[in-house]
Amino acid sequence: MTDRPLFLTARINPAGGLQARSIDDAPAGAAELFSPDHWVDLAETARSGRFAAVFLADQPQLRLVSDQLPEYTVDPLLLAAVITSRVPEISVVVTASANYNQPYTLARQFASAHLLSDGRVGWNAVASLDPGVAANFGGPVVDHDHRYERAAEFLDLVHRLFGSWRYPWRTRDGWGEIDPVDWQGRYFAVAGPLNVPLPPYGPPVQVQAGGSPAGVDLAARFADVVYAIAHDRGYAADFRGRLRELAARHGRRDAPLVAPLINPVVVADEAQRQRATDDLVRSGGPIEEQVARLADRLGRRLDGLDLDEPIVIDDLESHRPGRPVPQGVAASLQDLVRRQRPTLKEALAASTTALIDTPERIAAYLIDWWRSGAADGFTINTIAGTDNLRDVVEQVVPLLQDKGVYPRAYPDTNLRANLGLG
Amino acid sequence: MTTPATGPDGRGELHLALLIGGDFGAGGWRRPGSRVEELYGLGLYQELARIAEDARFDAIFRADGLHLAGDIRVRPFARPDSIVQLSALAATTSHIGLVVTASTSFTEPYGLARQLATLDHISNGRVGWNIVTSKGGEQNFGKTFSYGDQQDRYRRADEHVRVAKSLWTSWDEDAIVIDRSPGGLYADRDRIRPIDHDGDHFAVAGPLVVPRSPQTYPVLAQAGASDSGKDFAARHAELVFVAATDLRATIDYADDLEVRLGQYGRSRHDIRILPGIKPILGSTEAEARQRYQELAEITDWDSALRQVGHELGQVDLSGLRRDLPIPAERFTVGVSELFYRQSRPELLRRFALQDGHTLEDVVRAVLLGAGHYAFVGTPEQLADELERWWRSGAADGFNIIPPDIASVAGFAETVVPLLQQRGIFRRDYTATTLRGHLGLRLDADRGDRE
Repeated sequence: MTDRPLFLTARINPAGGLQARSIDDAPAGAAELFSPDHWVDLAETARSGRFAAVFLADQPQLRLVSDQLPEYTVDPLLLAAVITSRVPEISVVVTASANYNQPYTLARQFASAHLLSDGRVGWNAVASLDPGVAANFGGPVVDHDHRYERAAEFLDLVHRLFGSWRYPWRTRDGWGEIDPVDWQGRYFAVAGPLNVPLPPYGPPVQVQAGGSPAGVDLAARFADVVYAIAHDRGYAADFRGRLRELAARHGRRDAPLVAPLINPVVVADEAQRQRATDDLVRSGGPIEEQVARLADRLGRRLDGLDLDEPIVIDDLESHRPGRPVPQGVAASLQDLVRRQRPTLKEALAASTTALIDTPERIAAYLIDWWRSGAADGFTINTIAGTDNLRDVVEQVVPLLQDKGVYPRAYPDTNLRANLGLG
Repeated sequence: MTTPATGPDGRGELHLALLIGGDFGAGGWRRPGSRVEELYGLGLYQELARIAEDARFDAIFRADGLHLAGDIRVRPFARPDSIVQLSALAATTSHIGLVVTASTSFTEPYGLARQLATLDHISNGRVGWNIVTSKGGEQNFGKTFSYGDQQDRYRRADEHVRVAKSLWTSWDEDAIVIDRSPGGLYADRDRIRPIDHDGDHFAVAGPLVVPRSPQTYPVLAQAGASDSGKDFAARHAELVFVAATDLRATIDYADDLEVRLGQYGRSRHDIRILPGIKPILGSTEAEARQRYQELAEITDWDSALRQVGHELGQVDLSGLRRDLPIPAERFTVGVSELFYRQSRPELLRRFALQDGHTLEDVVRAVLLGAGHYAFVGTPEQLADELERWWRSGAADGFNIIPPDIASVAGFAETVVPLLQQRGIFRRDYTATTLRGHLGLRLDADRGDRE
């Protein structure tokens, strides 16, 4: 239980109109596919549900997934500039790499978008070393073991730059104080100061998502908000507790807010629930691929299992993942399977963090996690080609508001204040 | 090569860009109504963009700098990142071109090509890229970029732009197929190719993460006037922004560029030359001169001298009399020895040593015009002047540098209608893309022939 209201953010797909392909009237021309209207509409929907922010994931590499559909496309920070200039009140959290950007440029671009939106931008910092991304930027910038050390220096430096020009907004007396940064680190040498002033409402909100021990440590040092993948309430509560403890150990008085990712699908009854589970598994691409992905995450061989057969994790042979698996995701999913013994089909649905239920039960689930200290808020995944975000806004949010745990209006005008951050 | 076939001399209409992101005048911020308080917000720029679009300007041209330059105590400096700022403006405009400034010295081609393609998509084909090799700012990019001499920087710029062009064409125009039938595909993988570039400065696998954008690539703009800069423009630029204090200098520039264009198999028709001009207008000549005096008022002489000394290229101006010319022996460092840029100091030094200009004349001209032509007169006189430059064939249009914020609306309301009445400026947009407004055609194959 926390003393601040529950908050919601919506993960909207940065591939935008591309992902709406299953809707028959999806736009056909390339120009329309990239019209900002798609994202603006989603942001408007989220805003009508008083979501604190929409969140844009990203990777600067072309990955064509099933049906040759690109996973990521346009630059999300520029989308944030568009969304915030067209949609009031709501904020945008943008993913950007600490490995494949310059600290000065990244600080400047985020500070600019933040300033021009009156404080409605957050930065989700990622430190991955995906070889496909590296190949577009002249190769890996650091070896795997040092990537979090480098990322920590990057974040430290960017925050110094954010605060380097303190403009006297309230008094307008002169042009403010300037703090030369003069950074000479192991990885970066940056003189500063930033040529964009720090706004009166503070720097962009820092978001982080890594689930490995080094990633959690980074979040404990720098993050205002942490996106967690948690399939199980107990796992989430442990995770949040560990994070708060670590933050205190790093000398922080505040603690990062935790917002686990969920995929809510609102249904009216049990029959619809069954159908939606089937649909979800069916639309998730070839079954063999889904099972292989789950096997990688569980570290167990799943071949031969029937879809309706329960998974008993300790009875299964261990399996070496064919590709690297995010550690936090794997641990959380293993916990869920151990505790709940879902069928293979249910586990496939759950592995997407799907929450297929009635509005009342989804609201109760969110409140339960929030009250029990497993979450401060939630990240609602917007499922392409469905109206699940609108359903949550129209059917779940009013229930949260009636219970008095969720705001009926935006408390403030910028993200930091809307999240109750100092 | 095609060229617009209408107009008095076989050319189209003239082109207008609006420069924003300058500092709106050295001392001008002190005047009441300067709106200096709004420099860091979005609303002011949305308003300027709307005025320029209503007046049918070809483009907004956003200047930029990568460090906190000058003395912030006495000189406002409003420079949010140009790509981010123009993305926000793309959302509230529909036709006007959006020219961003980005450095090839301190960016990687993949990230920049992606951002520019993104802006081209979200603006539906209105983006231009003012390619700079950067005058300063290297202190903010240590350990990750090295900042060579001018020739090195242009070599890097050339490779940067070639990589970007390959990325922008890594998706064929028909790569997106959208076959909705069962088993149908979204994209044809055979029409999307890696670029596998491995050069002196960059190693980039590709393909770009963004599909082919409406213009394929941004209109490539450039402003360097050094030998390396002009050579680079002849190879890559479609739009050049020229600093020239008079028509003669513009004609010399155009003639020189035409020769260089020929060396790369291009012609004068493939490029639009836009000199910068700072209009200081009044309803009478006397009123305009009065405005000039106000705008050029220097309130902090010492700080002005330091800044002008820097613009002239490491010149110490202290202890000199205001009413006498700068002695030639003060120019101790030769232009060719200057590290950052050379063409602007050369231009300014020529002005300083010419026609008995006093130190005060030079300081005012530098602070107010920054090496550009500052025109003082009535709207009719300016319309005459613009038409004269345009008819000379050297200028295809102008980059309008507003001396203060109010003068943007002033120019749009008084000068633009005069140009329209003379039939030399559009009354309405006839194209939707920036390249279309400029009457240019994409020549996407050229990149490979160089």
